[in-house]
Amino acid sequence: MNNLNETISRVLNDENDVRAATAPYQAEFPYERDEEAQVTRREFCNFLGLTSAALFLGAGGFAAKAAIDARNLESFSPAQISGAETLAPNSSLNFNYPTENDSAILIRTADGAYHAYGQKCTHLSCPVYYSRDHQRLECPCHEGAFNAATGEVLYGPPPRALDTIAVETRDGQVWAIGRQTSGVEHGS
Amino acid sequence: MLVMINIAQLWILAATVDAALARHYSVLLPLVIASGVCFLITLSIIRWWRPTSRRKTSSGYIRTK
Repeated sequence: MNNLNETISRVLNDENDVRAATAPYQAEFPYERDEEAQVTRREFCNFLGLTSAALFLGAGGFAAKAAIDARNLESFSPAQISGAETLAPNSSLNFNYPTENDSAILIRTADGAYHAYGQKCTHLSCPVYYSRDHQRLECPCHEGAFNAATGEVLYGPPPRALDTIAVETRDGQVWAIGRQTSGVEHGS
Repeated sequence: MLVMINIAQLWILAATVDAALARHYSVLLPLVIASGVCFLITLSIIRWWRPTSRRKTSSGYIRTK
């Protein structure tokens, strides 16, 4: 009987000590201490099951969207790139092609040639920019770089070259006439 | 076990995103199937797994010994 009373007393003292120690945190993060134990093992397992379903649907949805996008990339119509004719050598211009939602970048290299690419980095879709100092396209997110004249990967994590946009000059105006997706593996 | 499967599925999702951005369409379907298998395993564990060292009573599972 003494042992039982002693155990009960020790447990209550421990509880009081814990409450005293956590009191400052309770003020900042108020939660009901008694409700901490209300998440049962079964509920936790159900949560993991829902997480599993969400991850499965996420993977499936992303794969489906990629497959649909790949089919929709086939048709293009020519579009004039306004302002390109006055672009100075060793500089760049942003435009949208083939749709308003597809950002692209036009580069006029130092030798006066025009090159255009999709602006999404092939690593994780950050927008690339033209570095005039290094005369190459650079991705600020993970330090990838692309050749300004070919779009090929120079270094960094991008797995393939930038998407190439074909351009041509018609009566002094620069037109985008098509977009080609590169599937070439970097380093392979 | 369930947490490990969730982590594996997270890795599969990351690989799916990476493959889609790299235009590796041939590996997308196997990755999605792998994620689906993981989900089915998770579902089967949640639905049918019961502790063997315990027996079911009206108020829950209790230890047999």
